[in-house]
Amino acid sequence: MKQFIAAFVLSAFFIFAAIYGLILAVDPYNKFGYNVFGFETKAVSFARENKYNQVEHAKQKYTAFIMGTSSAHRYYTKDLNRLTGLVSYNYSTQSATPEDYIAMTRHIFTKYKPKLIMISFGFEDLNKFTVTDDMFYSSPLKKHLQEVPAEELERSLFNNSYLTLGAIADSLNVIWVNLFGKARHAYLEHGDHIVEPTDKTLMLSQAGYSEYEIDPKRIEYLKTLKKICDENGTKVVVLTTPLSLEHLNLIRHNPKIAAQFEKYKMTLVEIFGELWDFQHDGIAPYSTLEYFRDSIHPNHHLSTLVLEDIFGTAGPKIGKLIKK
Amino acid sequence: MLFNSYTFIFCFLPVALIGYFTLNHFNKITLGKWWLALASLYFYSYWSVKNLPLFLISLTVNYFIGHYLHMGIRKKQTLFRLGLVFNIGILCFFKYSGLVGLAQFALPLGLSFYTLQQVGFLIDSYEGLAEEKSFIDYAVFVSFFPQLISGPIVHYQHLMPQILKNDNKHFRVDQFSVGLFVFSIGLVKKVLISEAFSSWAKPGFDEAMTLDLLAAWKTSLSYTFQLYFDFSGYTDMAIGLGHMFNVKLQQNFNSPFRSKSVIEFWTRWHMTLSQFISTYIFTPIVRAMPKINFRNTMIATFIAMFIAGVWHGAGWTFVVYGALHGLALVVNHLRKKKKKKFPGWVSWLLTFNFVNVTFVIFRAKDMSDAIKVLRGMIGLDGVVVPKIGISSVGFLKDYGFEVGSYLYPNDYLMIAMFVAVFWSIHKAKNSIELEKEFKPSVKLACACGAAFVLCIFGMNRITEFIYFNF
Repeated sequence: MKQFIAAFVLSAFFIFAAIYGLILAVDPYNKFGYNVFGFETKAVSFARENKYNQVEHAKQKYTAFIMGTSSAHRYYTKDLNRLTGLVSYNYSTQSATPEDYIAMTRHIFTKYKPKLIMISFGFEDLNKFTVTDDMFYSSPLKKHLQEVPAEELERSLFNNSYLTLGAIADSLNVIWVNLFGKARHAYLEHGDHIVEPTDKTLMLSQAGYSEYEIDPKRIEYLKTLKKICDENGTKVVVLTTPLSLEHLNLIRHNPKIAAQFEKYKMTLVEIFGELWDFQHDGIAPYSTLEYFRDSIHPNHHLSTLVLEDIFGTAGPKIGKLIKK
Repeated sequence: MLFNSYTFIFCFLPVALIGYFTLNHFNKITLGKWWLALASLYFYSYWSVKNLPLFLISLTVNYFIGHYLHMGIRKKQTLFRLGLVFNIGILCFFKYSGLVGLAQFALPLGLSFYTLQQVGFLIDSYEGLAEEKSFIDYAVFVSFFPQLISGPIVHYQHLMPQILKNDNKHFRVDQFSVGLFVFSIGLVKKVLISEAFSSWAKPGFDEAMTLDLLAAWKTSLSYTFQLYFDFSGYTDMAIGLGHMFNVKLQQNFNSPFRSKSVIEFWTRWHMTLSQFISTYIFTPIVRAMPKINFRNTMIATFIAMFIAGVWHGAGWTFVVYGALHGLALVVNHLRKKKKKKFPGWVSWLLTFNFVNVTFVIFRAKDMSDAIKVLRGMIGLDGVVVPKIGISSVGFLKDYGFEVGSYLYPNDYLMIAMFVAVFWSIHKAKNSIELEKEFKPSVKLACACGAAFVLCIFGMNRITEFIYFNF
């Protein structure tokens, strides 16, 4: 019996050390900057760690930043550079919320003096029932969210992004890709995103909207963000990220959610003065696989059209500018 | 505090165990009990200290009622009835006040469980089956942290003799080993299996507006398995912890999805609740009937099951859940009486699907939510076939089926888990069998250690146990 307990404790200890050691050595999210095995790429799922480090250590003096959720991954920085004459970085991350945007803004101003910040908003971003992504709390961005006391941001001793099943899977993925596959650079230089192969059908996301309420805390974060930018003479351009027509219909199917949908846009107009709206029926001709990866993620093609609408000289074709 | 949290596993549990056995070792038996009771109260109030006063009031009042029931007072029956009104009143106030237009208060953690346990104690005391003179012993009985929040619902006569037994007052390596083994099984069920099913069930219930046939089945089966692995995982952890304190708690699950009738299902699912209902609700109802015959027994069965459903909460979904199970039990008994039988596999299929459908109602926020999933399950909201290879399923379009996206790696994992679970339902040994056949070996210890470590990595996304809500 004693042997059983001893074997349990020892095996647990060594297996834990081996797994955690492997994760640290692979460092899949570039948390510590280790690369023991000299891997060409880190096939990560989460952008926050990587992009934070890229912004922190970049040699370029970026003058424009793109923020948003995964739906903003496909704005090419070269397109924004071409259209604005600025040097841009795409700071968008999966499941971003205004907590990310304010923290990113503060982080950016510690290093750069940007002339432009573009934020691509999703409907869920302002929803009180959309919780802050766990990965935000385990990323260095959290230290820039001064509104929340440090102890509330702290997770338990072991709760960091490397003590997860996801970290094990990602580490194995990194090893697999580097040893047997083709290096897949998820995030390229300047925060750009790789071009992924598309599905053969436009999949309507099963994500519905059962509960929605605009979060007053997030409104305050955005007001602060605007204030910081105004004080530094930085222009803020905000837009609603394109949604396919079928997804728009899904939102408008429920009258309560539809009312919140309008309120969310008006709230953004109220805070930022103007809003480029891409979430309207005018998206109908673009609701195909030529322009969308799925119903909520525009592909590179549509993302480029969005940038041209806002910053180009030909005038908008899809977007509608709503002013206060 | 959650069993599947770092704080519990690495801080609370070692401190509770070391303190308890050290005090007992130095023959400070009463202090040891106080330690256990205080540790349990800390465990309970870690979540929210607001729940503690009600718990202490309930514990104290029930102790004194139980105590006086044994002192041979004249108005014993009145006191007993007062005790029942007190307990059921608290339960109803917190669970059903919203129904009668009063403010709906948040349900204090574990209220349903510790109230049932104390109601059982009062009934046993009234009937002379249990007696407790010591307040601290009673406090340990009610607050013993492994079973405090979600059961198993234990009887005084089952728990206390074990705690009071001299042999059990000292740390026992054999019991600790079994406890570690069973606790690890529960941890795997909760952290690795239930959480995976939860991620597939939740979008279907809480986010989707409509569900096609496959999505609806994926949603309902995922919830059925989530609930089972969540609750039985919790029970295994509780039983494992009990062993560590040299207490054998009652089993709550005995492969319920192997059942071939709803009657059998309720002897295998949430067994301690079934026993409670049978002993303290069904039997008194039958006794109160003017005549004990089949018809009256069936009425009592239906009422008891209906109460069990409503015990979960005030919503219509629980009313329908209880009523459906009550009806199914009656139908089962009728068929049994008439000696009608389906072939084994048909009985299993019918029972499993009945349980699966009723769990949809149990999980849904309201009846319209349940209808959404049930409609999908019979294909009323379309059939979308995933692409396995376009050529192989493309022809289905001609028959009115939609062809959706490819299967993603996560979908393959889900299919693999469904297959594994269905296999394990029929073939694998359950926790009761594994516990009975436990033979410590280095190989088994290493396997448990590896599983435990994986769970440690899976505990970053801590979610509550489903039965914490009841």
